[in-house]
Amino acid sequence: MNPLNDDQLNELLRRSKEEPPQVSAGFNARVMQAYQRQLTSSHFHWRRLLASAALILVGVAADRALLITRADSVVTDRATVHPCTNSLNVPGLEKQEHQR
Amino acid sequence: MTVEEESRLLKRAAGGQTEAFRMLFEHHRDAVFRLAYRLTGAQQVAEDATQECFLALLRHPDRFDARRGTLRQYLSGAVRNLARQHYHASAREVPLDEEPLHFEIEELISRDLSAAVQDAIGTLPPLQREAIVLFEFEEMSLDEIAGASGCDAGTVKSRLHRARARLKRLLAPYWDRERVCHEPTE
Repeated sequence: MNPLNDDQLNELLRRSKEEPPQVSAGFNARVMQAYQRQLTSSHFHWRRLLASAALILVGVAADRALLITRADSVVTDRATVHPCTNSLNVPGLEKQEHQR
Repeated sequence: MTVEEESRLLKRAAGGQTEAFRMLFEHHRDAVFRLAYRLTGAQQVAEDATQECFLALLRHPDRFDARRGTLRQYLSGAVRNLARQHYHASAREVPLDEEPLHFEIEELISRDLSAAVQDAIGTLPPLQREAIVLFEFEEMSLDEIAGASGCDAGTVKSRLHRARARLKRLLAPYWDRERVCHEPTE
């Protein structure tokens, strides 16, 4: 069988162009759903990032608060310590100290 | 739709406005799908590629630069890339620019014209297929195809020549059938 000539091939291609393929029914809805899913997942991603950042900030704040509280309590402890003026009078203790 | 309108719609769609996305999608859907279908030859694959093109555009809207071309050109480039990925994923054993593929003449003759031409194009090696689809159906120039395919215009011309020669052989029986079918009966 002889191959087509240029004109015949051009004619077939031209007629084929006039009958373009069509998307299937339901394709638009499928794409719109995929778009919504993508949006939701990207918003979810941002929410997760924000939640993580908030958690870190809370942790840092709590740590600082704890440090400040500890520092205050140390100062308070030091402030309330008074030198002991009464000597401890335990019989035998002084002697043992001298013997060492 | 002007470039400014498209850019505005793209920003709004990427920001989550469904109506903006719908307008962009409906404006470009058919052209993107037709190209995807002619390059891949499969309805489902073409629809998946079309969907992925639009979703990828919205994931990275900043990758589209209106100064470098229209949105249609950008989407066409994205479809061509997806089609190439499809070739590589599904037909690793077929060299991209060599002789093809099994083909049933009887099957071709039984199809309607558009499907028959598509089937014949589908038997071409991927690079020849891309060249003929872009030249004949997308009406791109040799230089434009060369730019899109990353080769020189001479290579594109050679691919086109081989693709047309093969289509002339493949579609010859179909032409005879068409002539018989359309001859006036007495």
